[in-house]
Amino acid sequence: MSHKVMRTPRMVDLELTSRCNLSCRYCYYLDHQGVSYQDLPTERWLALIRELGESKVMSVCLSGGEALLREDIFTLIDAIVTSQMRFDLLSNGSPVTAEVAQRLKLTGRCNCVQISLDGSRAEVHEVMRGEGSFAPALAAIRHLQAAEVPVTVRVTVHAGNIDDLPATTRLLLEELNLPSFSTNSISSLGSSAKYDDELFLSPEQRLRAMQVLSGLDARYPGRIEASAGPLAEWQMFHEMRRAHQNGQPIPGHGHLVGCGCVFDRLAVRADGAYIPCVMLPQMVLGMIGESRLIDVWRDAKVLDDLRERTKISLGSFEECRGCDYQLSCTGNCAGGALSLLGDANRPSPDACLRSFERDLAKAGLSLP
Amino acid sequence: MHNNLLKIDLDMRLAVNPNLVLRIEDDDCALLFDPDNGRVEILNCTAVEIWQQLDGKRSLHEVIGRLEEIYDGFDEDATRQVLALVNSLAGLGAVGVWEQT
Repeated sequence: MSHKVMRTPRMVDLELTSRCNLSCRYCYYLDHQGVSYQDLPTERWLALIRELGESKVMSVCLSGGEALLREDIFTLIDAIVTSQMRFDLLSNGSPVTAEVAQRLKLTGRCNCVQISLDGSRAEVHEVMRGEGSFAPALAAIRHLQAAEVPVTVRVTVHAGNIDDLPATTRLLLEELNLPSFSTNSISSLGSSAKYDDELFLSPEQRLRAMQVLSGLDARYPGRIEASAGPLAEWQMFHEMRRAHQNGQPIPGHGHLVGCGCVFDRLAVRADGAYIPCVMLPQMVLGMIGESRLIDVWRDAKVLDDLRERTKISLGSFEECRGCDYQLSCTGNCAGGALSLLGDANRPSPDACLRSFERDLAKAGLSLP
Repeated sequence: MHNNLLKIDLDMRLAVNPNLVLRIEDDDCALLFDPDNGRVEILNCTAVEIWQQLDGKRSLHEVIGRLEEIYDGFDEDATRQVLALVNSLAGLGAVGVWEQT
């Protein structure tokens, strides 16, 4: 698969603050070794936003921490509008009042607000996200809908909410009538790495989550999205198995092509460090105020190396040799590989089909 | 700015919509992005050349004259294609004529 590097990134993720009012147990953002969790002052962000506009970046994704905790958030959003960009916003929902929703609407440039919601009721949602976090998240969705701001939801699947997924889906797609929502699962990044087995899905739970979500996907076609987590894995694993059965590799796979962000997207940490992706916060490419975005994009060796990653054949890795799925596999997320193996230029083991089949076999199970 | 989809002629002095963003992606193509609605149109390199000359001062006749200087074999058919492209851009609200006040 050949990727073209855009002259400038089309989208930039801005982690506007490291502050958050919640303390989710599986937070991927906090607790990365060597990452500084400090916030830039308004002027520094405004200068960067102007630079993004001059570089013809089309869209920014505002996150954190909880981006809406910044007192200057609408000053920054106004600058984004003035700089001819659009924005997405990721939030836990608690700061989204009716007034905030209305202000977001008035910008005319909000692609979507994504609210994190992990269950259909407080006792499920709050298992990971903390007491008192459910009602504000639900209220936020309703405020955004009332203000006609496009809103979606991200459901993070974990051992404590698999059985609630049908009820969550009914809440989101029927009661709230959202067009769609997305799912993922806890990743081996940040805080979640500290808890290991307590948080991560066991092979049995992972298979059950896949089956529940694939059933819901059949019932609500096209309305449950996934680029990672059980549903995405279910779809990818079946595609890989079909490819193997037909003796046809998946075109473009067989190399470390699981990460395409570095060709058209960049991220900036709350402390002003340019990073390749929010999943790779340790890889500092430069700092706001010291390096121009355009220079980092074109010249940072780390970024170039990540782009070259797509040329590395999975056949060159001992753990992939003899694997039936080698030519259908992408090697998965570079962030997962760095977190789990200390090397982004390896296949990440957390979404390996062969390993998953072996784990299931040990439990007397198999992928249908 | 006032758009005129149906009556484009060679004497018009068209200007690009300043609210749109032209992103040069590579040597072969550019994206025309409307931040107000997120709509994206793909322009080829000739369209980019035309886009960059629509400054509200040059007439389309002059723009085509410049293209004739740049491209060998620029003929009547090419002129028709330019007008079709400009018409299409006008239809998208991407170019228009300045209103005289």
